[in-house]
Amino acid sequence: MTHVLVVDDDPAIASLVAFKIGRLGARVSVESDGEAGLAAARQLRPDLVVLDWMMPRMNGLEVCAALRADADPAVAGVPVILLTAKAQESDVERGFVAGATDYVVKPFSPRELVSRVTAALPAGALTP
Amino acid sequence: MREALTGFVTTLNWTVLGYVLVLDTSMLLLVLFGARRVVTNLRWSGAEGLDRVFASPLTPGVSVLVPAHDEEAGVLDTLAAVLSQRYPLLEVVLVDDGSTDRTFALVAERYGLTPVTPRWTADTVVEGRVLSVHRATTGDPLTVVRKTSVKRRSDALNVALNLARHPLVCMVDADSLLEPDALLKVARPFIEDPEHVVGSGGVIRTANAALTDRGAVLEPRLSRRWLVRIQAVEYLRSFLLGRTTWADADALLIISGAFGLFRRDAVVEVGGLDPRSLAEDAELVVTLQEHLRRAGRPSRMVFVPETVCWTEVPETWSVLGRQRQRWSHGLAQLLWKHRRMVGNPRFGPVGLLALPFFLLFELLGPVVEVLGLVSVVVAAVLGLLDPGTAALMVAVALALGVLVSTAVVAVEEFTFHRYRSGADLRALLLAGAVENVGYRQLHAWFRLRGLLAALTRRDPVWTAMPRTGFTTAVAPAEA
Amino acid sequence: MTTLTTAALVATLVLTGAVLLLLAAVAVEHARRGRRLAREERRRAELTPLVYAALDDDEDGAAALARLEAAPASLDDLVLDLLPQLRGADRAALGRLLARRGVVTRAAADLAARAPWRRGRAAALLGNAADPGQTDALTALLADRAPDVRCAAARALGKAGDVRAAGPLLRALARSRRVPAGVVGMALLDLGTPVLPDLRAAVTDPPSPAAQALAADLLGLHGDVEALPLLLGLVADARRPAAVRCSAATALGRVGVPTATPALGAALAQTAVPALRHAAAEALGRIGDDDAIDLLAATVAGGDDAVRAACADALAGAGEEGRARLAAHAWHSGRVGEAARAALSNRPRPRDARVRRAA
Repeated sequence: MTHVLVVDDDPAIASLVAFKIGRLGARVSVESDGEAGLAAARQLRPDLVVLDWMMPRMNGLEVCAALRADADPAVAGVPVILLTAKAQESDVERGFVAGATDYVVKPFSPRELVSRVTAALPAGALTP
Repeated sequence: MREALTGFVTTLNWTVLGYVLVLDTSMLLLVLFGARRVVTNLRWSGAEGLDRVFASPLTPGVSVLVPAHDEEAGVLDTLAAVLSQRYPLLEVVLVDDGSTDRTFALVAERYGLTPVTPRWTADTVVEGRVLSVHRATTGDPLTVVRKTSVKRRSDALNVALNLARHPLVCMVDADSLLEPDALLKVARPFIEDPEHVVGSGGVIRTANAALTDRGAVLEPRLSRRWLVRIQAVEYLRSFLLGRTTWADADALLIISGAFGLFRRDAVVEVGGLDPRSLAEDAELVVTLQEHLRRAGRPSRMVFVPETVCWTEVPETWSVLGRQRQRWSHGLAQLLWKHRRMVGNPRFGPVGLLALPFFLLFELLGPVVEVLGLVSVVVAAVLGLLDPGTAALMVAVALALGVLVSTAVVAVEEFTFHRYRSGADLRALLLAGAVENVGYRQLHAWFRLRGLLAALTRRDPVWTAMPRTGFTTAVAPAEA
Repeated sequence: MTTLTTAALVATLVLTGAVLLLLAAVAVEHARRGRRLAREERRRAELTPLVYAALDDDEDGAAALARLEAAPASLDDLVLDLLPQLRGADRAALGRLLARRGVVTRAAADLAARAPWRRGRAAALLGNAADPGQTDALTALLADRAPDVRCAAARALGKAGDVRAAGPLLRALARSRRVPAGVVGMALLDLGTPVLPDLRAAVTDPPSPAAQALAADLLGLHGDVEALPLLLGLVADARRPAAVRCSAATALGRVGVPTATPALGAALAQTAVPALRHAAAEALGRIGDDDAIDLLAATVAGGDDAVRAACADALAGAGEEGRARLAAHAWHSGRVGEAARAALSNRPRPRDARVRRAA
């Protein structure tokens, strides 16, 4: 079963995203800070991570870079979608430099996010 | 002879009592007006459009200036908090002001510093020698300057000012932690009233014993030390409610050095921070007010009564004593330097209200209070004092003092309620009461010493405060 | 003395009474808040899945929506917290839910409330709910007597997304009860590309210099190629205020079309207007074609100190060619070399910036 990890310190956003992705038939885990998110990604080895940028303990960018540098190829190669309110041009650049697969700016359209999640996963992994 | 002495001592005692009552009553008024403002402000919360300020590419950039002298205990936390600010465009200029500890080494290791050729943007006079300038290679917008120390915070800030590139400069102490929205909230007035706002300050609270992790304050907790608890109440009273009222009256004199935002061009115009001042933060605000009013340019200093910057406060009497002596010394310097503004209608509420108040109650307060204590003791020794009357005088002053402190804690509980636990709340209430017995009197003594130092023109001494660093989440609750 | 002592006694008693009263109030408030928060959290936990389900277009969604119409008031807070974070169809669905529950009507009535914070909150809510029927009421609020409320109204108009607000927003920049450029600008950006014609009109036929400068800025942020001739005209027009010409120069840089290089080169030579020279240098760096790089390199070598740093920074940001030209200067001693070295070391290429692996 496809497994998606959602890391966001805003519980409302995290639960909404988890709900939407869960509807696609994926298993969803939620973490509320960067450090816990990184630990969960290493342990659960999800198929995709939806990651907030500004979080306590460890920011999303650091998490993303740490994932990319992980010794475990399954962790290093996981698609990461940054979901953040940081909307400046230079922020998007930094996000991709850190290894993000996709970048979604808040306020966001949950439907669009779902499409992007589907697209970032191997074809047929989810059935919308 | 004895009759004359009795008359004199009694009159003195009643005068001092009257003074203390007027002082405490004005404190109570400051607290109440401040509370009203805080409540209005909270009613707006969620509708102030902070998300728009954050998303806007038109939001002016901020250069955060952080002077650090031997700050290895907290500097990484401070930097982490500043660099993770929710703000669209910012850079950080950290000044390693002749540190002899690992301040620079820690920062260099964490942010992969590499030496660069500096790009100066202003030429404010600096006494210390710049040794080198570095930049982070981690993608963080961080510049670090190493310079020789001349034992003055103002000198370090002036170097940082000369490297700042953005139109707004924010001064943050290296022992302070900003909340994630802090910058956004103090910057908002610059966007909503760009023609007038020159400076903006936020609320400072005591960080000792708060639970933090890499610069984020996870849970505010009250220290177990009574000295810190009392300062927590004091900060709420003076640095939250007091300043809110002063700013509302357009008479803000102090934007704390721990956290303040200014227009860079205005600060450069007045030559940066005054190198001789011991209260360079207040000094800058008053200088700006004076300069801009003289130039006929309308200006406003605003205070945002909710932003929170957590700062470490002294944990021992001796450190506290030095700190307060310095503040008082600095205030005396400031009032002397700007004596022409005192009572001068040309400078609006600052000249007519704030400066006279600070002269009468902040600067001269300790003189009267210490004098009062001495006269009570003298009267008691000479047997001039009716014990009943004396007890009543003390009781009324005490009751008013306790009322002010209790009102402060009540405002905190009804508005921000940052301290969750009932135990902390009770401790805060008790600290407010205890403040009036012992703390207040010793505080008066420290301030008197500062005033005396200023009067004898003693050389300003800037003494460093020993840092303990922030309590981290993994450590046991309190160090 | 006796009257004084009596007065002191009474005062002490009154003050002590006040302290006790406050203590009691604090205790009650502390106890009640705990319970209130717990209750609120429970309600939210119950309602949240229903709200999410209601976002779907299917039968489940319709059923959830029907159940929510009669839900307790905490639902409104929950929806209002979520709303500003969302866009698109889901946001519209939540807006409709609020309208059906009468929240929008109540907020519209609150626009005339006496307390500024009520008017401001109502405006913010209407902006989030994006009900097109409220544009006129919000537009009227742009002239409110409280500056905070005017700003809230401008932000709300931006979020509500009705293009008709563009004209009034631009006109609100210059009058006695004005709305600052930073707020109006973001509102217009929120309205998106549909307001481009209004912005172009504000450049050709400006209601005020402030509106003209802001419109130029925004056209640049949108990268609007169609506005190119208008912006070129502004930069070259010496009768215009410096702020307007600077905005136009910056905008030309953002549009990034080399056609603008000659006009910006002329602006770079305008020694009388330092701010314009800075803006022109930056813009040339953004365009970064060969001519722009030649102009910048020449100004670094021969210009005066005032613009040298700006030109050097622009070159450092203008790709490999710009950096190479700058590097040629960097070996010189003196001010030219210093400016070049500072620019090079302060603007590392994006791919140099490796994000460190967190420990």
